[in-house]
Amino acid sequence: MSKARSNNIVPKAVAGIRALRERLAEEAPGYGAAVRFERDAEAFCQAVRGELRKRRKQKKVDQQELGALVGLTQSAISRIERSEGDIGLKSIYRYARALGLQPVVTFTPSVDDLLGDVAGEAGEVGQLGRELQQVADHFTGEQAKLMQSLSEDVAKLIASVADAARQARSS
Amino acid sequence: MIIGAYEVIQPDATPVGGVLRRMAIADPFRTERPVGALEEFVQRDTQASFRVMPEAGGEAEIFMEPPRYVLKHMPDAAALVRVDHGRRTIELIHVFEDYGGAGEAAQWNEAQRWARAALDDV
Repeated sequence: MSKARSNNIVPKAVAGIRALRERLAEEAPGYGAAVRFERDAEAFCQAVRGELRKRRKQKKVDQQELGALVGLTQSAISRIERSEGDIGLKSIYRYARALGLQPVVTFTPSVDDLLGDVAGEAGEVGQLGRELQQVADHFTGEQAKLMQSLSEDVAKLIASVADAARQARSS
Repeated sequence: MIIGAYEVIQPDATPVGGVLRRMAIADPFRTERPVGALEEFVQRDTQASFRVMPEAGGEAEIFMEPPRYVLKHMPDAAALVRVDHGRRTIELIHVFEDYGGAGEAAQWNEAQRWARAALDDV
């Protein structure tokens, strides 16, 4: 890692390349997604390098000793731990075995895909809720019509009873 | 020479800018590789980069990113870049959408023509 990067100061030329990226991403959203994907891939490699370094330190083995175990120089071990870019699977294997570890490869669904599934299911639940609301609204309307109709019938009945009473009194 | 403090000239309205925009839409990952290589290029000493012309270096130099020796065996998009030490600028002068493989020798001649023209233009 460069000194400038470790101090979070972006050199002018790097800022210029990043500005170029941003301009391209504005016109091509797919390019912006590709840039993020590549950044995630680099972050993954950095995480693996960091894990190797951490394991070596836990075992209290220095880079020179580890290099001697796998036939690499101290500077080669340092590059594995500190470099940027891709990291070879064989490097990971040799490094791990020299520390008495067994690398295990596991692939799981990505968080993005899981979130996408959850969002999809939430969308389905939302749709079901909207449909239920429409049914409820429908019945509420029907109930109101029924109450209106009943009220009118009761009013007519009361009126006819009142008429009958008046006729009975007059006769 | 360290060129981190140089200015990158944006290729907005140039033919190179047009090629990059078209590539970014059609093949975003391929576009990002030379751009990513350029980001690394501007952070390292130019002595460690692949110079197209002139061989001994000079006031202005043309570099290829990713370097020719990689592209020869692993064809990919590539950028030719002019570093002008007098003006302290970095400028993309040409983008190969697919450099390397069987036609590499002819492409190398083309790269040198671009480089010569870019140096004459300084």
